[in-house]
Amino acid sequence: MTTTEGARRRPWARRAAAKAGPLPWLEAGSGLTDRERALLTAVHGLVGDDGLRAGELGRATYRRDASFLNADPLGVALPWTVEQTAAVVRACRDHGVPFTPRAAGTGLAGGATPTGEGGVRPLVVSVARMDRLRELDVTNRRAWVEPGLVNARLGRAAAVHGLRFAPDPASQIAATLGGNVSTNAGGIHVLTYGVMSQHVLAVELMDADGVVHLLDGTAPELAGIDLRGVSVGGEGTLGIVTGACLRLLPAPPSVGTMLAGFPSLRQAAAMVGDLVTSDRLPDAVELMDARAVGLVEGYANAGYPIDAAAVLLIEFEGLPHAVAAGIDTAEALAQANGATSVTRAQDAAERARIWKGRKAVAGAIAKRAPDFFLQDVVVPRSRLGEMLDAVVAIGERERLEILNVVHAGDGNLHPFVLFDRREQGVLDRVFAAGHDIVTTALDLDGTVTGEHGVGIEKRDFLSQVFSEDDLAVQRAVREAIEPSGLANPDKVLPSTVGCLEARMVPEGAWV
Amino acid sequence: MTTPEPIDRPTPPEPPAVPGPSAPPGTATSPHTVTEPSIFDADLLAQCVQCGFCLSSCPTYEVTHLEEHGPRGRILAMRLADAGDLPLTDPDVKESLETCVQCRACELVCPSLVEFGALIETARTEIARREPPRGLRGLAHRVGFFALARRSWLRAGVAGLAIMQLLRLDRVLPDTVRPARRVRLRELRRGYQRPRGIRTRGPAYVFRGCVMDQMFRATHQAVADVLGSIGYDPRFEPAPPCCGALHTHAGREDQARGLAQQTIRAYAGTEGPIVVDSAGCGAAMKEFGHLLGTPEAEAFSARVVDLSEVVTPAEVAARARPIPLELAYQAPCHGRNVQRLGDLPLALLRAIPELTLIEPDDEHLCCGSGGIYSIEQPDFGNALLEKKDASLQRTGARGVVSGNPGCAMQIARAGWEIHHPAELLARAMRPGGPV
Repeated sequence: MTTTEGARRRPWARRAAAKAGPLPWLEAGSGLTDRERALLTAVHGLVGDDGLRAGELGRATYRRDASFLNADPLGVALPWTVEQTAAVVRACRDHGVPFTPRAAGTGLAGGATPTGEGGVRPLVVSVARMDRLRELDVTNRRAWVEPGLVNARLGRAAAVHGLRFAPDPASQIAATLGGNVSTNAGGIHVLTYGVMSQHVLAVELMDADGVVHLLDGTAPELAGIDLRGVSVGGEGTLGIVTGACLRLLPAPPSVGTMLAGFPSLRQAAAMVGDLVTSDRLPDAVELMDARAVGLVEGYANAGYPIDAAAVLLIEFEGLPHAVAAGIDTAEALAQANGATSVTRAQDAAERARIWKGRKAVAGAIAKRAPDFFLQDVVVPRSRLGEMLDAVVAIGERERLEILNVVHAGDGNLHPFVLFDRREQGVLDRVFAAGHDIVTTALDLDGTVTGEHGVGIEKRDFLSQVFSEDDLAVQRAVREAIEPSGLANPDKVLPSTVGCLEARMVPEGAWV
Repeated sequence: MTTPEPIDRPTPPEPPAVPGPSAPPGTATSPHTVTEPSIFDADLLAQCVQCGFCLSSCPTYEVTHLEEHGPRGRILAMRLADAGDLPLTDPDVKESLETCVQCRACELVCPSLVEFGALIETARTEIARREPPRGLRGLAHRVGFFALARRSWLRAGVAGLAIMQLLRLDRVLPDTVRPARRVRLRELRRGYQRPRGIRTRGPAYVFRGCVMDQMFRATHQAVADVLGSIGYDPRFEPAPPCCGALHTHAGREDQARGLAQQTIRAYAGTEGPIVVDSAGCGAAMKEFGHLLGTPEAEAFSARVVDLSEVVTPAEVAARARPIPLELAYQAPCHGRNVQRLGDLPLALLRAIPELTLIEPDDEHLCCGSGGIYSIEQPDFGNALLEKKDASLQRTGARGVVSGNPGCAMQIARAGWEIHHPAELLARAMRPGGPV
């Protein structure tokens, strides 16, 4: 299935994207190899002036996603349609040049960083222009989307019909659904609704020959091998997601929110365990440590208890009486675990105030330090307390301020490591802290990522997560689906040929 | 200052990402070739963490989906220029920065609180200083920006336009330059009348500005009528010629400063709110403190209010007669993103009985007016107008409410009938009616 309507784009937009004049980077003396020049010329012929950037600024702006890992691409192609995308991908195949799929570039693991094997610069293929909601099927609660559609826009379109799209990563105002599918994204409601994979009914995957395969379908249950499942979380290594059919859920009729403060991280962690194993499963359980609370409260005045060592935000969704029963249970459990304060949101305004603090973390950090490095690890809920203590110790050892913000219900920690990149040598300490956080999570029977994906950042940790046998099967699957190896090389699976690709990170660092 | 590394590369600048002959010379990884004093505030520039949350809020990114047309790419362009990797006048860097419509929507969504407006104004001022507009465009800029600051010149120009429109001579102008608003000589001659009524509050000053004072006199009159009906003593004097918002926008910061000082001086010795009915002027005047950095400017900026900040919905509801109309509500960027008026203007209008207001489903993406942006960047301006037009049509309404003259003239180009909120309020509110 392909799209044709995208081709009917307004001429103004195409003119705005095109720049008149010669293409100096194609001329001799620009340092391009013959192969690179041949590919750029071919791609230019396919997508035109408005669809290709290969000048210095154009390349610089596509060096990285929202992570710190970056590399110089050959250029960036921005097709308007699936057909154009296929043609660009075929040109890459014909010239033996790898390609890196990308859309909004909000990923945090370097999945869209244009690294290529053997020093060949890849072409970035941005699918951001294919951003339509193809079909919203209210009765069957599903939506066909193009990969560049922004997550929050699907949410808004669904809300008109009393529906919701459950995966809600923090970046949802800009992150695209193609990227969400590719990284198997999560969000605050993972606890009850699961990650992206649970919400993808079908995937249109374009392989490195430019052929689009429809994996799975819109029927509720299909028999056979679950190739859709294989492709979700592929991070572009299996090809480009050019479309997806997503599951929509009814919007909850009512919501209840509670804020509880605890005198220690361990007590808060124990509360999380009790709550999740009780007969009322909450829909979101967020934990913030004292540092995070102190910083946020001073900035947003959200009414958090600043004397608490940890606060929990607990939310229930559903029918009003079920929500009320859930909040009652949570309050009783909080008291039993020694909570020093419990606040129930009485109305929408109070609920908004409670969430305001959680959402203000990044802004509060901005007032303290210009940069932060956001980690993403998971530990079993029973080890949450140990993990939080370990993060505090790591921060002290590396002399870095680290805030803990945790999707506590599923043990997914997001330590924010604060720094100022202009400080000499600080990045070494930041990356060392990040490395220690990941190895600690592994030691506690956890894993290296909850929702950000593997990309380059976590790639070489995978051999500690999976057995060699398991990784060999993963490689075999990748080679079966994408034998050319041109689709987003260097990502997800650990390199079998050693660490020669770790070139865009500091020496002695952990990637 | 410490120069930030280009593109925040965490590596020490040893082997470039792609070693060998394939790396073209002069890439972003090349050593600094240009050393110039930094024009940017280092801390402001360092604030961005390149998370990309701003992309979908950016109107120009939404047109081309190119990073260099989004806030993150523009900040990167500034950082590259600041680090000496690319000159600010590099054609791509310049294009990236000059195609920003300065709607400031990115500031509203930025989790790291980057002051993008301050950064882009610095960059644009420097570009205008190094490469001032030349030829016909340069002449138009010099004459235009000079005339804005002198009421008699502007008046003569607008009268000329009115005559051209009367004789249909304006049709020779290219579409992007031709004002969609019909100016009538009668309107130009019309004086302002201070409304009668009981004065229970002190004076309130209607800011007349430049273009508004020539082409939108009825709007100013409406503001005065509304203020009068809730007990203020509206004044049309003093009348400084121009706030300088358009000058700031075009990178003419020196002129902008002069006009800001002139405006502040004009109101010296007065007390009470300065009510602005143009979202763009209001935003600029609220930032005088920032622009000039003096206590007088700070104090002046604190007096500047939008009409929706002096009138309450309750005051409207107590006096309003019904207006049975269905209109689309367009929130001007500088009211929403800079003045952060939120739902205040909408709440005010919703207090008018039988007036239905529909918000378009476009997340209030900029209409592409941006001062003279629609003339300078017609490809973007027209693309954004088309988007705005389509979203307005989807509302099913036949007219549009807009509180900014630039937006009003831009949207009118698509054939829409535009209402200013003040005019609707004045129509609905009986002077001195029941409280």
